[in-house]
Amino acid sequence: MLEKIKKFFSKEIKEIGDLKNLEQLRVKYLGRKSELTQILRSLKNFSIEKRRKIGPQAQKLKKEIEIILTKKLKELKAKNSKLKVDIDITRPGEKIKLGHIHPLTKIEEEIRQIFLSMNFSVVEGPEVENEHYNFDALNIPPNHPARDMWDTFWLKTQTNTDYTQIDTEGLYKSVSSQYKSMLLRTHTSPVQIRYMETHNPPFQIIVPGRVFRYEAIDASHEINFYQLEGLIVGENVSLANFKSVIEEFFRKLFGNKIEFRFRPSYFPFVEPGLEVDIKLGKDWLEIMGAGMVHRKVFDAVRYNPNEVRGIAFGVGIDRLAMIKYNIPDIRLFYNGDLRFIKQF
Amino acid sequence: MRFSYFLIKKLAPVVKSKNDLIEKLNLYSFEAEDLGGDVVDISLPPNRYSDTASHLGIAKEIAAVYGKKLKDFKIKTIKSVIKHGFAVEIKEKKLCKRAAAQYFEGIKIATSPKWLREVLISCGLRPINNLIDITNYVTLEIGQPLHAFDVDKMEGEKLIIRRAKLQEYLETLDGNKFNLDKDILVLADEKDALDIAGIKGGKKAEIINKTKKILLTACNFDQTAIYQSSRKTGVVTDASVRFAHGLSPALVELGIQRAGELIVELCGGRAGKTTDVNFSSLSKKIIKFDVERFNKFIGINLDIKTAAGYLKRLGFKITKNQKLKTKSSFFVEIPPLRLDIKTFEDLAEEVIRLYGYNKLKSSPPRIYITPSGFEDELILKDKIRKVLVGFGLDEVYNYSFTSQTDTDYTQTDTEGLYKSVSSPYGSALVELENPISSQFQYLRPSLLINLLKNIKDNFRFFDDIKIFEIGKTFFKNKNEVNEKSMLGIAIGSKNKETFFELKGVIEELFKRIGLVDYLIFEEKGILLIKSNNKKIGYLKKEEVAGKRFSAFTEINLEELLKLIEGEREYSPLSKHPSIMRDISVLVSRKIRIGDMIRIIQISDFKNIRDVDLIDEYDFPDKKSFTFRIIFQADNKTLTDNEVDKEMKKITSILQRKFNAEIR
Repeated sequence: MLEKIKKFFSKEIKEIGDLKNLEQLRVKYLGRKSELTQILRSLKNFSIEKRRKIGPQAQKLKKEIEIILTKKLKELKAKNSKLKVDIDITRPGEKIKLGHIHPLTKIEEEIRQIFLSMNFSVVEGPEVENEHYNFDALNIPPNHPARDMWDTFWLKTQTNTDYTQIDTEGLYKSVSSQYKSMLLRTHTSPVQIRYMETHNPPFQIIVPGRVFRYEAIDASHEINFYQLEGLIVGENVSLANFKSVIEEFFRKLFGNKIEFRFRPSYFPFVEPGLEVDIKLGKDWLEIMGAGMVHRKVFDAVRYNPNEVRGIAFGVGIDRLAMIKYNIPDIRLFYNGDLRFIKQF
Repeated sequence: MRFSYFLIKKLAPVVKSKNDLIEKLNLYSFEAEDLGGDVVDISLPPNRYSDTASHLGIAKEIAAVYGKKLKDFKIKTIKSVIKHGFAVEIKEKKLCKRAAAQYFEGIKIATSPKWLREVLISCGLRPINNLIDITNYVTLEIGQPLHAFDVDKMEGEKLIIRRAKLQEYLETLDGNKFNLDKDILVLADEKDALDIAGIKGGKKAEIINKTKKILLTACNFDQTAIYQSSRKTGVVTDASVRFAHGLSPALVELGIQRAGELIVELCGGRAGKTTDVNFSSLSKKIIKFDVERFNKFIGINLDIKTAAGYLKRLGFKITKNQKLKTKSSFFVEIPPLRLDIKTFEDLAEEVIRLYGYNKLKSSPPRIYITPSGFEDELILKDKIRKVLVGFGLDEVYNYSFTSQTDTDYTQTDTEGLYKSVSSPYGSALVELENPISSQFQYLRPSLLINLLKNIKDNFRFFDDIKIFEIGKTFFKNKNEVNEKSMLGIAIGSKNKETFFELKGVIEELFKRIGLVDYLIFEEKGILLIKSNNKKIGYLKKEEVAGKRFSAFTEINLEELLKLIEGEREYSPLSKHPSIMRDISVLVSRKIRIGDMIRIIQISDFKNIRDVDLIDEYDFPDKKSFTFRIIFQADNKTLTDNEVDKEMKKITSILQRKFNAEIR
């Protein structure tokens, strides 16, 4: 009996080529219904003498079959896995087609995250403005040469708005339904006014956005570009605080190997007014205008200038991106050339 | 403004070198730049012309920076040797606060000395003759514009400052002719206008080589009036720029005295009487300076004496009888030329800038813990960007400007590729008053004008282009400018139709940002996207020329924001298996796929989870489509029987409604 089983098994195992058949073979020879299992089970019915003779032989055969099966299993597995690794894993990876974010979005996101970590909120405002928000309320009176600091695009449209005008003495005069010239905002500063009109201090905000200047286009000037405005208003804000916030911001954006220089400057909506220069390599780069919010600006939004103080600053986002990503020409941002965009 | 280093150094010997001057000015006062040779360019802030648009002013400023006292600038008072003088009448006291005139005779017109000519040249002026050069030189030195008239050509012995008369006419020194009006202020004799006040002198009383008797004048004009007249006449001169920035009436006296001194010295003139009419306020300006307030404002701890010291350096007077040791504040008398100093903060700036912004130690603010965050629209825009980039789209930024040709509905571009790019919203273009060129004459009414240009441009380098832009569009509504936040997407390919990829992008985008309830339906060849009965956007296929395809969409982000339903909720996965059936139909070419799918979706069939188009064939007069319909129930395992019953109903409705032949 056992001899026969052994003979058939030896023959059949040679013909097994895959794991499925091997399993079937295992069931056939070692399964519950297999002859060998039957024999082992029926041993108790035999005489002791027969038991002693057949028992060890059957056990031995079972072991032999198990060993052969295991060996075969290993062989087959090895063969299979060899099939699987039969590719050249050194070939280049497939190109994953993801899109690209515009570099100005990229840097703006980074800037927003830095300020968010300092508990600033982010707000936006309209691109078409009227004279009141873009100039008057920011202490840039009409017919004053200070306005010439901003080359302005004017619209062939006038608006009919209610607003509060400040006369020369800084007193309030409510002027209703007066026509005001419309323009493309020359800076993000009007959003300061809009925000303060509807919120009470203390707060700290940044305002990123597109601004416009009537200028000849060249490698460093565009007729539309991006600016970031910052405003902190509270009872105990100081110029020394401004230095701290700004140094922190630039260190996070450009790393710790940065030098700062603060110089006096003039913007009608701040007093004192400063210019911030940074140095990353050889040269000083003029980067930011800033200062303590002018009392006339607080007057315009009906804050009490003797009770609150504010810090305001403005920085060109395009310029930051040009420095950070080493971009030589501002026009690259606005011509839609994907050879440029796809680098980011 | 150009300055002569030579003259600054002469007035402020404390200056070490030109480089040092420039560096110190930059760090403590104004932006300054070396233009080579004797010339230094200084960018004066608009509010400092009164006291620093002069070499003397810069000398005082730089001396204060060095912390050294400047030698007093002494003007030799000249004696009037002739009793003769001119009357001065100011008819517009608001527009001319002060005017002075001095008569001279025995003038010998000649060439100026070299030192004087050199200063003029450094400052960008052309030397003419000794008399005119002196008026210009004194302007540069003191900051007061001056003008001299030839008395022999004047009528009467009176200088009148008045508004021009209707149809009055004046020829300027450079030969330009102006028709004046009542908004323009003039200097006149008893008959004619001689000079456009504060802007330019006239031909009538021009100084020539034969001139012997002159009237030297110095006036103070209202800054707004001069700014407006200068704009109106289109004439911008050194004098008009100075007046437009606002000058102190105190300069009039200094200017006329200094010029008189030089005229006697260099032109051999004999001085007559000076008439000085002054309506300006003579009261002194006093401001309180509280050092504790200053320290809090700046974030520093200066003692009162140090603070007062910086102010004194700049010529501010600390009013007497103030023992600084025992007080925390003091009163400051503002020098008459400092028109810019009006408030405590103005004084604070003077102190801290002389102390040095770089020396000020930074200290972190005590920020109030109010919740911070982004505005909703910003969050939406960020989300959209992330999703679209994930779909393989590139983000572009374009100009906010556009041209008539680009916005023209029927305009075809040179390659005949793109047509009708206007938005279906209908638009009234917003035009610029002062466009930089006709190419940028209007504000963009749609993002697509530029996106389609981007596709065309990029076809030079890429076969497949997928781009988007988030930005503002503008159009006019009556007298208001409507500004809208828009998302524009354009997909172009040289090889394949792109419309359905775009449609897929939109549908998946809406799913990702949480817009659930919307309809896309066809209207006049474009697909409109509607939600809550509002049009929020559209999709359109471009006309195709050659083997180029493009499709685009534009979506109003403000409307979209209102419709988004917050976070998606988890819906339990069905435990029961789905059953899939395909059905192929042959229909006339006129039948729209969207209509068939909608019928299957909205009719009263049970347990349909999804309907999709999986295959299509074109025949000469018919089209064949294969739809795949997936059935699944939430509460039980569907049987083949149940599904077959539904399929029968679907078959019959397709046959009935679309005359479909089931294949």
